[in-house]
Amino acid sequence: MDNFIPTMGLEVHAQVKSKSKIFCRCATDFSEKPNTNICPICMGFPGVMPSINEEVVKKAVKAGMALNCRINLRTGFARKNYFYPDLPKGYQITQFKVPVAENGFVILSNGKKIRIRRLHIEEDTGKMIHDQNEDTLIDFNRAGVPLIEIVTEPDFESSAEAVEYMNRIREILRYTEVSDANMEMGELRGEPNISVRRNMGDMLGTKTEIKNLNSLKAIEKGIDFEIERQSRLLKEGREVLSETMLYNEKKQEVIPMRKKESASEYRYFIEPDLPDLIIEEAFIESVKKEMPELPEEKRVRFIKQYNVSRIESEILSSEKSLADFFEEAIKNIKQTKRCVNFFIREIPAILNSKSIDSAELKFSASDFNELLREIDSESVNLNSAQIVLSEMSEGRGKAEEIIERMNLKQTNDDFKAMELIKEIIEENPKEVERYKKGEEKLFGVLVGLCMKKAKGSISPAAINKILKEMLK
Amino acid sequence: MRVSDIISKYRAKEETPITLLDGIYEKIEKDDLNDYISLTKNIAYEEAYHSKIRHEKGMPLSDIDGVFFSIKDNIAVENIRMTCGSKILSDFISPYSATVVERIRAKGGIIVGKTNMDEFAMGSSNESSYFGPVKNPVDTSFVPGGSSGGSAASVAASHACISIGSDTGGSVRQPSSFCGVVGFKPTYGEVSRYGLTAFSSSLDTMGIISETVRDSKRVFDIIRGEDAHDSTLSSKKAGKRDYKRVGYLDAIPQADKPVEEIYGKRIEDLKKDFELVKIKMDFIDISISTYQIQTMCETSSNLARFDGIKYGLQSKSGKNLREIYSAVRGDGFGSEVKRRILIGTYFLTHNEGEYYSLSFRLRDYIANEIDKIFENIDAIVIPTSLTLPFKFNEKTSSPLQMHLSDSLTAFSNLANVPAISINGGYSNNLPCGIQLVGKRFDDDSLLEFAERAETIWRENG
Ligand SMILES: [Zn+2]
Repeated sequence: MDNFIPTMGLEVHAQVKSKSKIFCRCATDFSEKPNTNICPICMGFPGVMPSINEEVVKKAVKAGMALNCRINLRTGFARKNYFYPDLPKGYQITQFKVPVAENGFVILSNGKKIRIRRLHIEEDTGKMIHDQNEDTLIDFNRAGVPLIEIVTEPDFESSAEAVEYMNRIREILRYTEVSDANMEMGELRGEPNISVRRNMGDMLGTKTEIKNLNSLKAIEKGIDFEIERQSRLLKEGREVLSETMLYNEKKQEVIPMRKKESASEYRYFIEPDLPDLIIEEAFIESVKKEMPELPEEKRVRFIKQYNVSRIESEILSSEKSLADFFEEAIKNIKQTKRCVNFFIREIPAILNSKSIDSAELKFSASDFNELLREIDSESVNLNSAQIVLSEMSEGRGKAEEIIERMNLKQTNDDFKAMELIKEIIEENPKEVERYKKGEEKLFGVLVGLCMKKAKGSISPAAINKILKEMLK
Repeated sequence: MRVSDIISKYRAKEETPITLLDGIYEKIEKDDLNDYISLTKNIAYEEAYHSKIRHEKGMPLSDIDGVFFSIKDNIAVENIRMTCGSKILSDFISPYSATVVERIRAKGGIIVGKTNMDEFAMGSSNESSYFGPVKNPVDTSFVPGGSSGGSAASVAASHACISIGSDTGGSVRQPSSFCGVVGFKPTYGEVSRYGLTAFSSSLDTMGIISETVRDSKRVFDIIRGEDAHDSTLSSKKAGKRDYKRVGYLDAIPQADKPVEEIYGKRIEDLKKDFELVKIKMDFIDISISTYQIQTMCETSSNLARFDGIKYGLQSKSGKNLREIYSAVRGDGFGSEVKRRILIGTYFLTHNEGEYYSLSFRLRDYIANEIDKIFENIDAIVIPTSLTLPFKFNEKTSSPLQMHLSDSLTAFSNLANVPAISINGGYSNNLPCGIQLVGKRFDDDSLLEFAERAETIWRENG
């Protein structure tokens, strides 16, 4: 299939983080008991009118700015008309001709610029639930939950690029606190549109759209299946139809769901119940002031400031909360490299094993800073520090207390031992080499050599401990 | 029934809100005009009881405390059925109240019931109501006009003191003309539309029907102004001023003879106090098509929510969604409503909605023309309707003829200017309304002018 070139665009929907829905005061928590967070407005009862939640506009502008978009100072809302039981009014309020933001971009790690065509605000629909009796039930808790839709140009050439883009978008939305962007919760959804063609110079092929991709894995697989399906069709001399495809995770396939609608079928027109949305320069300025350092800016700074590698900076900045935690923890540390390494080795592992984020740790960044200072001043060695940390992460006290309690402080003996062991290691390179290759019995030989040289001035326990550490 | 008469009866302790309410309900039953779809006796008597106590203590909430209101049945009153004159909503109970209703009740107004209307406010004779036509109290063999036919009839028959209706292209003014009462359509953006079932959202306004201009003004001051629920409201205000120059038409080609006669006489009456200026209104013809396109497009979308899923006519079922929708909507909507939904859907689908865009350009044109006219004059005086009240079934077979009923009223909705219809006199005992149109947001000055005109015409008989 390698002789077909895929071209893809992505439509991303993200749930805007907001206490209340976009056009009414109902709570946005749609995980609650069905049809409890509803009111006449989000249910579209006769006579109700929408009034825009300013917070949503602010967040959309913020997202637009973070994605390098131009913000339109005069924009407005439109109705997208279609019938569906989860759509209370028979139309969705969205933006059509002039979106709140347009012409942005995201740069991928391969240096490629993914152009963003538009970013607009809209309301979510309700949710249909099919029960065991094959009845269809509707939960309107989600109806009117604020969304932003981010549409790219057809700039992707592989599923990997699409996945990386999704990650970038997720990061930016989380950094700016526009959205929690949790894919499992449906707070971030990606719908790729895909076409293939034989040669670069050919016109773009007929495109299809894939829905129901609820994870990055699904996006990757859905795209790959669809590229394969379209290539196969064309190879067999058949036609690709303009369809909406549905990804089926269980069966690992994409199947046609319905014919794709064209814009005129939605009978878009200006929403007469809402005035134009005028965005003042001062408003943009205030959003700018609230704009945090964005992930890419942070990575570049981390590389410079903490002398870390690109990969390390990506790990440290994957979540804003982790990056903030890191910077707080590394304050006033002299041996940066040593402490950054310790941080990168230990913290992500703890977060992963407990599947929590840094805010949920049982110790604070300044608690961790206390431990790093102990490492920095070499009053504990790295082995001991690891023990201290595991105590801390179980909530069993602060660094100093734990060191005290477990008697982990490096003593005078330890320092003397270090000097002496350094010499022994230098004098016996062969033995050290053999030990490192796995001849564990040589550890005893090295201990013996140290004891002999120390002539009883250093405790055997200290020699054992330090030697182990230094041979790592 | 005038507000001042009611209040003086309370003051003199001749009547209480309860005794008057008894009388109103008796009269409604006796007259049998079909002007109400639902009577709200429970809430009315409760409100009347509280109002009575307040009057006894000499502490009324406002000058409409204990005054009787009827509310058009496309305006929401909490826990009361709201049908919009349609079968599709014949069992719908509103869970909330319109802002105007809340404001009226907060000032002590008593809601007598919900009035009959053309289905979803589409019509000019009240004959498209699922609940049957309303008889004109002036002569029961004639229609009361529409779409707020029940509202105008209820005021004319003293079944209410004030009625709140809706005016999209003349729906408050034309029935007021047919029933011989005052009908006021404020500037779009003055009164909250929250709770008014949308027909054509960019043109719909709440309107007031009363016996006198003064009473309309009284109620207007209570219901107007900012509302967090309606973001299309405007905070613009025009300064109050005395009207001096009045524009009029020297011929109205399509008008009935008696209408022209009464109009001519009323223009003459004004000459003593005002400078009369002949004007041209060539945009009236295009205003009708503009109005049709706008309302039909918006209606096709506004009425999409009535799909039988959440409320209304849920008994209909089918094998799939399409069948359910067809069954519910096919059975639930009347023919005029269906006609407009279909045409509107076509307009919005055809060539990316170019007709709808065009209608906005025409609206701008009409608004500009009106603005130009107002550069020289303070108000326009024209008849409200081309015709006097007509008989039942006289026009129902010709929808186009019926649509012409909006000829002299729709332009003020399209240009967002305020207009008020006052009874100008009778021909063969049938009333004929004269309409006064003011500048955008000039509502206060227009009402003051209307009071003067009302007095002049009354004095001249
Ligand atoms: Zn709500």
